[in-house]
Amino acid sequence: MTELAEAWRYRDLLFNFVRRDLKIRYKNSVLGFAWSLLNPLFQILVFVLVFRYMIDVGTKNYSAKLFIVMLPWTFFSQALLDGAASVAEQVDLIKKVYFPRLLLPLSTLGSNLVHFGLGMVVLAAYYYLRHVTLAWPHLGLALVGLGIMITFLFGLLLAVSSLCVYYNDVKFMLMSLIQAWFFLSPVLLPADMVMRKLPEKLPAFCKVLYLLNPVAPPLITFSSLLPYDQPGDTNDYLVVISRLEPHFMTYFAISAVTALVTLVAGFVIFRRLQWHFAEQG
Amino acid sequence: MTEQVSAPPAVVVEGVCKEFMLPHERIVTVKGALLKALRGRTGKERFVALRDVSFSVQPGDTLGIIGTNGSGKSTLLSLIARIYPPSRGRIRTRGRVCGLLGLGAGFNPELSGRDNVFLNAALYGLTRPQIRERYQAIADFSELGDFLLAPVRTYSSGMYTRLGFAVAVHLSPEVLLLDEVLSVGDYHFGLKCAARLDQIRAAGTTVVLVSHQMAQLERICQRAIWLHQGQVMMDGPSPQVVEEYLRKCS
Repeated sequence: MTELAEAWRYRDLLFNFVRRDLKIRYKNSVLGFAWSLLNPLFQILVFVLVFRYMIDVGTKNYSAKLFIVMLPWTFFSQALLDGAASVAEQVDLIKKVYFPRLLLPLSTLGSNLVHFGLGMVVLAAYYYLRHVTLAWPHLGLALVGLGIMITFLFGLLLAVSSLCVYYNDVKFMLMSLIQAWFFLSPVLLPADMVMRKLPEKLPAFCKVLYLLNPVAPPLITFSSLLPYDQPGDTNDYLVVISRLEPHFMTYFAISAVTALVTLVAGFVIFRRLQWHFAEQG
Repeated sequence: MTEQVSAPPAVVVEGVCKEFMLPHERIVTVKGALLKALRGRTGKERFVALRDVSFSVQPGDTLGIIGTNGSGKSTLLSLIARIYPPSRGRIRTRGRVCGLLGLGAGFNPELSGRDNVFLNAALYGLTRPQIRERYQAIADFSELGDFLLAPVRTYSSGMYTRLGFAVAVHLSPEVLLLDEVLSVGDYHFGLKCAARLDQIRAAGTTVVLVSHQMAQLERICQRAIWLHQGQVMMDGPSPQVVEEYLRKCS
């Protein structure tokens, strides 16, 4: 726990690290910070172009639905990749100065969170302009979902960033893993679609595994912010999901527990390894 | 033993040993680690940087450390600065410790001099209000003027060290560790740094200093330790230690 108290004392350094990350990202660019808003904007344009005019996925307003899960997923995967290298690329600094090493993965989380927030602003503007009505009652649940994702992400970051100092392979493994993870999570393929389809072709436990993925239930709560607009008697996405899996809230709770366990495990791993960071490389 | 010192020592080093694995033995990949485990730990070479080093420094004292290259001086400072742990033994420090084991730690070439001052000082544990309070003094000391608003990549190496030193001498820690960073900059700046260091010592800061400049070391330090191959050869008043060291070396 002394680590946490010390990290708190160095909170101004965290602020400086995050500011540095943000400043460096857009060095030598004319538009600078505007790119944080322009990049998600272009992403929306591409989605709209592809899914409205080029391919029929059999779902109305697919691009709007895709975006609300794509943003948290991009945040999650990008932070994981950035964070993996966060300690390893600062070994020179670690050799010169003592500061709470915890701040390195934490600052990656912070700067990615800022980008995620800016992306959300663009998303909100897009929904506003297209007169999309959100299912506001689910906002609380979606925020809890975001909290679960961040907790899980930080636990992973602690483990991965410290292991990367010793084994570079971890980063490459992660790149492949994230790609598979993307398709196995409810991002590109809506959860209701997958949960209808899965039992047709695969044994029942596959659906269990699909929902045990710690990022799946949080992403589903994000999707639930948009009304369900397919033929049927309800426009509540959570009701649709609950009909496909009555224990959905249990899976949501399990993802919260998994996130906390990951955080503790990541912290323990980081604590064990951090003392010898400076002796590497 | 009969010293009339009421305050506990600022730095205590007790029976400290430090071993390193030689860099070429470093395991970089999982495959390498597996192969190593399968073959049994063959060819692992240990390098002992420090053996059974003990000493303590009273608050406000200045201790000099001398010795040839590779004698363990920098390792010792790194251990006191908590960069890595000792293999055996214990190190205790009182108050904030700032280890200047190289100037401009964490300087980012893309950021302005000003931003780098804030980043660098925060690395040494200063809070934002503390840095803001000292910023003008740091800027004045560096004599960099408008260059402080330009990215550090545009600096000459002299300007770079000036900025690094300007921050370093305004950190006001309880314990200051200096690793051969005094011999930087031009003659004028060197004098300024020496004067500032005298001020810092006069203010009661404990200083541990590694230096190869014997005249300077004798002037600043009452006491010196001579390290040789990781062991303390001599510990005493700096003129005697320096004299003995120079005699053995020539």
